[in-house]
Amino acid sequence: MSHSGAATFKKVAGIITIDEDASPAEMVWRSTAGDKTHTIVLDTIDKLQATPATSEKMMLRLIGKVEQHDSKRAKTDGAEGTPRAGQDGSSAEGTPAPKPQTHMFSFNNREVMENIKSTLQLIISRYKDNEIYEEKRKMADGTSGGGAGGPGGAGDDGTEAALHETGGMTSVLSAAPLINTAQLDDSLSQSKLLANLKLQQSLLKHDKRLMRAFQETVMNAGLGPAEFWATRVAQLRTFALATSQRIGPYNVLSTIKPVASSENKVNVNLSREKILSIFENYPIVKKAYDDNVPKNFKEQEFWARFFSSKLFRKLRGEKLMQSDRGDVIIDRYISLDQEYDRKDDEALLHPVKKFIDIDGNEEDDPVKFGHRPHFTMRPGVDVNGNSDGTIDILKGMNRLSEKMVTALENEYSRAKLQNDAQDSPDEEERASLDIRDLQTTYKADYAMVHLNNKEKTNQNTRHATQQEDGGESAQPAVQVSSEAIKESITTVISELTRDLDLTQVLPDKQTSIDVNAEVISAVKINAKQAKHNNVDQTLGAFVNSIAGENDAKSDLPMELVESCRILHSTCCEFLKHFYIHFQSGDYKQALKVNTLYKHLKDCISKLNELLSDVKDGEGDEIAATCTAYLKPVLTSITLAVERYDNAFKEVNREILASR
Amino acid sequence: MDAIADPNFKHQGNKPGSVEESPSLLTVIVDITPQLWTEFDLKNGKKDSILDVLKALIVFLNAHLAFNTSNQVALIAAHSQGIKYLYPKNKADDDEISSKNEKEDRDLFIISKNMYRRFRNVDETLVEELYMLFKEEEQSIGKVTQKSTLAGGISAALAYTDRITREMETISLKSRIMVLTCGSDKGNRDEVFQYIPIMNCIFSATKIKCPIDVVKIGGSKESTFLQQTTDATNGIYLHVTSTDGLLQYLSTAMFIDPSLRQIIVKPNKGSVDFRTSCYLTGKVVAVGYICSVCLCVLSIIPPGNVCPACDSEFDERVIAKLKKKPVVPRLTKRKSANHVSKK
Repeated sequence: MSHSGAATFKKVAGIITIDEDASPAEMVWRSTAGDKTHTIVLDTIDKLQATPATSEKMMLRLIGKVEQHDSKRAKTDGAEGTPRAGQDGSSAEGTPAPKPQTHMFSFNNREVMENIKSTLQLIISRYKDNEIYEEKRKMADGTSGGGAGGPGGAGDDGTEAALHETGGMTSVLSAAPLINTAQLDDSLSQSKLLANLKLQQSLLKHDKRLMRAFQETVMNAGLGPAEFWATRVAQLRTFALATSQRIGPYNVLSTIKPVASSENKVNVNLSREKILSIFENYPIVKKAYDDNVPKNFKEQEFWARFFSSKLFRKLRGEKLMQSDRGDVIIDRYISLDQEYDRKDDEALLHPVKKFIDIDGNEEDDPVKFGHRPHFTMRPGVDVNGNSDGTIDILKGMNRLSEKMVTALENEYSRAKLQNDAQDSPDEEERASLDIRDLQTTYKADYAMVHLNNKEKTNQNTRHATQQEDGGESAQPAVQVSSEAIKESITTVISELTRDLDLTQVLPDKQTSIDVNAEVISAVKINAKQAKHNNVDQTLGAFVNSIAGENDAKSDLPMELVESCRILHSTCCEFLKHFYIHFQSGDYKQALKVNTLYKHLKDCISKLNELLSDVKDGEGDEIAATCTAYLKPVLTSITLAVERYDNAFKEVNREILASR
Repeated sequence: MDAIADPNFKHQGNKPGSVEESPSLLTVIVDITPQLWTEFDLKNGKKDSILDVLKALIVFLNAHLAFNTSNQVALIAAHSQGIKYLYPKNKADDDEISSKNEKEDRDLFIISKNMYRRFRNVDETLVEELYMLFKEEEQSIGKVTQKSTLAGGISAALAYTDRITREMETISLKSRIMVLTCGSDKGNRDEVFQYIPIMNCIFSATKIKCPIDVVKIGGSKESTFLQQTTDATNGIYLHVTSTDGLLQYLSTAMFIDPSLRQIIVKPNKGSVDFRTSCYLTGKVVAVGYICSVCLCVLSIIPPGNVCPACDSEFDERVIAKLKKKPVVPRLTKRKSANHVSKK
């Protein structure tokens, strides 16, 4: 891209130079004699016209903006600068007010003109986009508060790019993890989890079923929230871990895809997070940004320039072509970037353990001395020694990957792990280099478990079981005498010595039919069940065929099932807590046990209430189903209450007796 | 052209039709403990049911052989003193015993000579071996019976299956195991002590993907551990009240090829009891204690704080925690009991 070229202005030969460093950019024409200069500030230019390629004349015309408050900054040192009116009705505004200022340059080389033209085009369109954005912002200022950033123009082969930022700041803030991820072990400890109210709240919001259980037991029935959570530490921990995970650094630039829009523009969508991420991954961009914004150009202009720059292409891992159009200012950072890369390489270099450090003895470096390797052994270099940049790209990508990995080092307690590992850095190396040929091979050591199958134990239990037998089955155990056994053995033996007639084995017809029917009926019953279950081949277990269809069919109305379910889970919750304290053996818990006991009694009455309500309201059949559903929980609560009563009587026998 | 193309075509067309079912190995473990069967006879008022069972079994084995020329069978007997391979014959025993008994046995042509040779080979050996086995049993009447012969039989069957499958790797032999047992009441109790060996068998069987079927004759309908075995290995559990029509049972329910197990609906009855037994008392337990070393299940805290199965000592503190059971609402009750009752 050339920024200067010979041009004739008002019939005086001279040189045009475009100065992008100035803000706003300027175009300066200087006569060859050096006595005349003409400066045009480019943000005042409204239109750019050039003679078509087919025409013999090569002329470029810049038409200035028409502004209400006269702030024409274009000044002419040349005396007879007469503005010519646009012949093609360029004053589309139709305002008869001041005539736009026009600057006309003629060239004698089309290529030079094209170059100048495209550069100007780019710059002018950038300024225009800025203006449009400012206007939009003024209009939208009232409505959208948070949206920062905006469109800027960027040229890419004569097209323009507009950059939109979506305000993502709020989402970043809300995504702050609920726990301190840097010290994971600590934040996941039971006490920390139980104290983390914010975490508990968000878990409740997240899990509707848990929320309902919480409402029923804690809010309505008076179970302490600490108790409620104490049995759910694992759940809390899982949730904390699941929510605190976040996306680590990634190759941001590769995700930015310019989209061509209708107006011959290229749009780039860029969110706040992405910008932050770019700054994090590419310090060079951060530096460029800090240097230039807002000193030289506005934020959106910076991004527009950045995306059309060579630096962007380099960072993104594309090959840089000599002919590529770039951005003068941003591209200056390419050389600086190389310096940054070198520093990165040093930082990322894995420290070589002293134990095996060959570099420690520089004499041994085979690359430094000896012959230069053959070109086939030099990667990325052709016969003539020219590099095509592929190696640089690969190196850049590797650097990026390593940076991503190291960026996570301090997250999730990993720093601690590394410290642990570094306690004896050489130990592992040494172990791996040990010569172990003569050492005895490692043998797996198993602890022998000797199982006693003592006759004695069996004898004891034999008695026990026989006693039980008498109690359990009405049938008296058949006593078999050794004579009987002997007799049967003899018959078997004699039978075995005789001719075996296998044709008689087949049962008679009726028996066969009966047997068949029996087996088939069993199959039929099982087939019905098998329809509901699908065997999972890998698990070898029954699984539900359709995900989400967890419920078996029920004859009960939905609301009733729902209330049964809530009641059931509430009862289970109380039972759980009751037993935890009941069995704790800690007498300090006695009061708590007592209150839980009362809760259990409440549960029983609630259950009975529900059942009788159903019986009155819905009829016997539904009541029966409902009872079947709730019977187990009722039984277990009754058992718990019974146990409490017995223990209570046992402990306070004297007091009760004395009364 | 046609002349060349036609046979090719026909050949290919025939192939899918003539795909042979893959050969399979059937290993049967039969419990022949005479005490059990005599007991069963007494209860049912019948005589020599064991003979009916053995005959039905022989026919069943023949039927299996008839399915496929490459099919194989094996029969293992679990008797009062241990287990014995009835077929195939143990070669080492063979030399010694056959020379001794040749004179008295060989001239007994028990099996008719007209029988299909493959059947006859198996059947003759079986009858011979059974004869010898019962002779042995005659001598050992009154001796203490071994407890876990059935589980031992299953282990032996698994070992045999594994060996044969490896030997026959090229023909991808499928295999299954069938256990035929007699369930007296006492036998059922004894089964309790076979829990650990049976569990081990279940694990190996699932590993080599060998289903274990169980036919239980007489006794109680349920058989906790054998049912667990069938459930875990994709087998069939069949309870038969008498030996009548046993062959029909065997042939209707017991011929499900191992490869069809996943798909076919099995004629199992009732639900499986997944509980285990207490090592000390033999009671079936739903909630109990478990030794962390040998996984032995106990329904009571063992005396001496020592695992009765593996002798590992339990941590006293843990035991104390378990014994801490005594309930909570005491002391406070003394004060608050009055307090509460006043209200």
